[in-house]
Amino acid sequence: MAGGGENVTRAARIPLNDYGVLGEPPAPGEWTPALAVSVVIPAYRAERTLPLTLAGLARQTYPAHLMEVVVVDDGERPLELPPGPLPERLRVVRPRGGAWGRASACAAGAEAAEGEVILYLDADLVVFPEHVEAQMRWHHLADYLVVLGHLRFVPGLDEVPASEVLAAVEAGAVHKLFAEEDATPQWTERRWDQTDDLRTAGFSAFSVMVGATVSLPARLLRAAGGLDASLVLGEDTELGYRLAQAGAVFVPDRRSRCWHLGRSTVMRRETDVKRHNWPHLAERVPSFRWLRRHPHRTYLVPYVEVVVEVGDASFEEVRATVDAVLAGRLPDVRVTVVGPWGRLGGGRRDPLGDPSLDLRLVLACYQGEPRVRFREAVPDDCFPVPFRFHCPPGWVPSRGTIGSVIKHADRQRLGLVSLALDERKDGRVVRARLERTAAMNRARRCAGPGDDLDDLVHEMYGTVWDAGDKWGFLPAALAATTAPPVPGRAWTDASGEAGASGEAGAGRGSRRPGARPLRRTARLLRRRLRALVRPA
Amino acid sequence: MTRTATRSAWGTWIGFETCTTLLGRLVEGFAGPWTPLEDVPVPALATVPAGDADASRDDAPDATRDRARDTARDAERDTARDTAGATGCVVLAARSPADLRRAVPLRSLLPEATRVRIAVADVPPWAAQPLPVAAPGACWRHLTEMRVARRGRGWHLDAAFTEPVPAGDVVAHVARGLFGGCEATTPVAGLEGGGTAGWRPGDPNVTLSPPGGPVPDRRDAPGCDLLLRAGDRTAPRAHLVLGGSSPAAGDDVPPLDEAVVNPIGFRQHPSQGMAALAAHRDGFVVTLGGDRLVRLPACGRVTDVDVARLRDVRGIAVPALGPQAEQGRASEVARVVAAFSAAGIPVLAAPDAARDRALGPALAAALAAVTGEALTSDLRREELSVRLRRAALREHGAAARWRRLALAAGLPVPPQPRVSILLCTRRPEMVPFAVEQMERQRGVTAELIVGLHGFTAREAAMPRTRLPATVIEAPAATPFGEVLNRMAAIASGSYLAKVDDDDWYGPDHLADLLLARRYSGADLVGSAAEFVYLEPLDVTIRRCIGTERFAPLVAGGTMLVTRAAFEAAGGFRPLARTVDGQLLQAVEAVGGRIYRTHGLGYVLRRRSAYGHTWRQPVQSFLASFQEQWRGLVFNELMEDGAPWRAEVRT
Repeated sequence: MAGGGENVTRAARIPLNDYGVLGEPPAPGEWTPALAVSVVIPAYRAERTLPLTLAGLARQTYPAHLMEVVVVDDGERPLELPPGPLPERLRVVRPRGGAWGRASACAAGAEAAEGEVILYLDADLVVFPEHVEAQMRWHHLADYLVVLGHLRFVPGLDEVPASEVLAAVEAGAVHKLFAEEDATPQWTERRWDQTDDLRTAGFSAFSVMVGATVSLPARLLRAAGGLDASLVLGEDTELGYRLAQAGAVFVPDRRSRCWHLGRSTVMRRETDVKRHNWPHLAERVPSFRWLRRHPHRTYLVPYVEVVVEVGDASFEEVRATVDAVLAGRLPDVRVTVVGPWGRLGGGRRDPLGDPSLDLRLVLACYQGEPRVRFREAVPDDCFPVPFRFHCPPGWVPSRGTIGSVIKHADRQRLGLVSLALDERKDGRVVRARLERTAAMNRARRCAGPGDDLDDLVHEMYGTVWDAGDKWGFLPAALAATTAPPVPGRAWTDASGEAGASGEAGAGRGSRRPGARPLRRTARLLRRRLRALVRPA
Repeated sequence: MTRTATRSAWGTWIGFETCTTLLGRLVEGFAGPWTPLEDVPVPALATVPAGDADASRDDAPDATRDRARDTARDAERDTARDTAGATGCVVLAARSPADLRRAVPLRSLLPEATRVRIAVADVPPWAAQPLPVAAPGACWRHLTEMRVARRGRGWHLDAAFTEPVPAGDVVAHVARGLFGGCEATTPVAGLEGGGTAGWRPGDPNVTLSPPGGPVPDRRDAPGCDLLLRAGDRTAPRAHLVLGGSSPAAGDDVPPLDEAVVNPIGFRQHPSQGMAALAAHRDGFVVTLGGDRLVRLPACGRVTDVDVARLRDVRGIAVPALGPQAEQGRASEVARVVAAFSAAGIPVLAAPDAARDRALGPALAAALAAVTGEALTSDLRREELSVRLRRAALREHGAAARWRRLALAAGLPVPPQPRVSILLCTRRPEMVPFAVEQMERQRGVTAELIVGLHGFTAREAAMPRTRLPATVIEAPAATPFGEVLNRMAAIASGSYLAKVDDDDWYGPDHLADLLLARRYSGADLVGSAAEFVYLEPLDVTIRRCIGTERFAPLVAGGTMLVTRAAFEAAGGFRPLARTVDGQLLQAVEAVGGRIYRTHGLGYVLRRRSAYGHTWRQPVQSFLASFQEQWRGLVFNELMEDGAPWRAEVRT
């Protein structure tokens, strides 16, 4: 796949979403393409506009031998190819097994596609001759880019006759069809304008990914798990989220132009679309925090995966840590407890003298807790969960710790936050560590042999060391008796230490009812103040 | 007291050129008339009838006269009394502590009086209080009442005496209280007229001569070693006369008073933007946007009060002079630029050949390195500021300037004070590293005292070094403080510098400490341990520590103490640990002052393994930091510690 000269650019290290480090892409017509592209067009009730789209694809400046067009026929009846001008290499496929919907069609198209790059194109677009080439030049610069085309909404075919459009396409005068200023820009364009074409968009760049015209390497699409066929709408946003977690960079290209005939569903029925999409996206896109306001429930994709490696820690230490995480103010967490579970046999044993007793107790302790799972080894990554938090057993985060550390990482645009908790006599530093999945995956993409992933993350996102107690971490023994000053109180299992500190537990019981409403008031107040400031 | 005030009062001012209107309301109960102190004529020795008395006193000194100063001053005092009549009250108004220091060499121009009032109109926030330090002089024996009061942004001092006392002595003692015991500047100078006072600020040991007149002799000695003649009134030029022989051409720009124009109070994170210097009437102004921050007189003199007002600006842009500007103006701009540089305020100067000539090559080169882009980063700004202040203070500081003038005049100068570096280590493998860190120190005369604590010289590979080195051995059972004391006992320098064996030092570390010692007048100076390399985490952090101020704590590996203060404090305590902290406490307890200078020439290494004398938990370093870098990172003033990078993993 990679040519000789591309090895250098393959490792291009793009910080955050600032693809400016790649430099200016070559001007259309002044470079030699090498990558094959499959243009995948999901077609549903597009009998009138598809011929125009295909005609536009037939007149592309991108070399014909590097471009194939796959039309995925998603209609109720099999599609008949129009008589007009057609691209040289054109195939029509149908989704298998009665699958239907845009997402299934896109998935089927990607499966059939043979090119190294897949360009999804809607069937109601009239593309400019440079449309494919403009997007493709980026894919020659790095192999983890998602390139977004630039579209403008124009009146539909009920106002402009199809023949006129076709004539313009054939005459190479697509740009003269409509005046730029009469066309309606897509909602995403405002975000492009605000963020210097997404260069400064940071972690939220994925949210403007729209499936109408977008291209990405086929390998990147597979690595991100392809399209989620269970979604009927909003599948492009969800895919964008997973691509971002896989380390992708989102590049809008204003030279990859096209006209969108007629208004889009989002434009016509925005409220209905949002009503439909938000429950689906809330389950699958944890970064949309505003969709997850519920204080207790869990979702399909959690926000953080907390990894607790048992090692030689005692049952009480593991339980203190896991309990504290579960009691945190961040409800959508998943706790992965890592230990040699396979070693535990079911054979006859001394119930109290068992050398693996602590392991068995940990296992028994969370049988009914759906947020806790047990693994033999630390998984390579936690894709598509956006964050992973390594927490050593015996250390207790306060209720707000994990949430604050993540907020800090978002504000400072960090890929890794390490918290030093303690220093052992042998010089080893006990640490907790927050990893951003997107950052780790991009580092893996860019890593050559012998590269340290942390170094790469530092280069592209930034890493920081901080003190654990500053963020509310306490040793389990201390947390049982004291409340940390910031940021929030440690959760402790009072019943566990009942014998040791009976009166302390009673004191806590009397303090709590007063403290909790105050905290809620403070939170509400903060929220109201923020709301006041925001419109200004 | 009130009686004397009403009888007759004589008022004089210094430093109010740009704001004479302020004088009217400054001193309660005294409306004028005011005389500029610099214009008070120096009495001509030849015309004084008391000349005969001088000769007779020289021949037969009597006991009552003996405690007084030199004969010349006695004579002048007589004259002043003659001219002003019986002065009841002397009022001296100084615009700033800097101006008060300029009044010190002119002290013989002040008459005797039974009441002395000193008003300082404005003081910088970091200045000490004007409490006189009584020298064993005569005047304080007659004191009946003294009042020191805060008035607005300044201070008023009002002292009443039973007998007329020389007001100049009171001024000198108050200045000494404000600035501590700064070292005397050599050689002994003669100043011609009051206008040249800026060349010897704060120096009570000068001899004044009337314009064109001879330098009055002192008892059994010539009046001065070097005489400074005023060129013309507006721009005094130095003409040096050695013992009354032929004059030699001196520099154009008067020297800077290190005690007032210095980096004390430097802000690491300024809150304002770039200011600009512009010509205004016959002087200068510094403007920020539409605001006028500071007005400077035509001669380009900058005081500590001006510096205080400019502390929050990121830098000052200095435009090139127009072609119509003559040579004289360039030297005044140079004086302003040199002062800002010495104060650590970065100057973004447009190239100007005439000005740069007056500034000297070192400062001009440091100025050329300043760019607007670099000033936007706080760290880069501080690096540039340190380079500028070094060049300015070394080139234009009064001590350095007079040393050069003396050399040019062929006078012998005292040798540079020697620094004895106390390097004590428990680890033989660290000796080469530590010696190399000291080997690269420049700009100081140093000797190295290496203490091998718990091993012998045969076990350590003592590298060859150009520094004179002495090695002493001590058994491991000897307390650390005791070893250091033994090392200090054989040290020969006038300063003792304690260094640690595993920290990194910039090549100007010791020179910067000596410089800080000169401008702060502190007994013990040190750096802040701002930069710390945390070996277990492989990160370098910059902590939030205030620098360029008097503070009770400095990094233990950076302490530089005068031998006198070291001995006054009783040396190190014979303890195994915390000897640094104990020395700081002892110095402060006996009344010594401790100054903390910038931390850019020092990187503390926090090791992973146990074994250092004192350990702070690694996570506590992270509790507050302002910047963090991955790996071992040096700032530019460390001048690339890269050769030592490999040593990190020892």
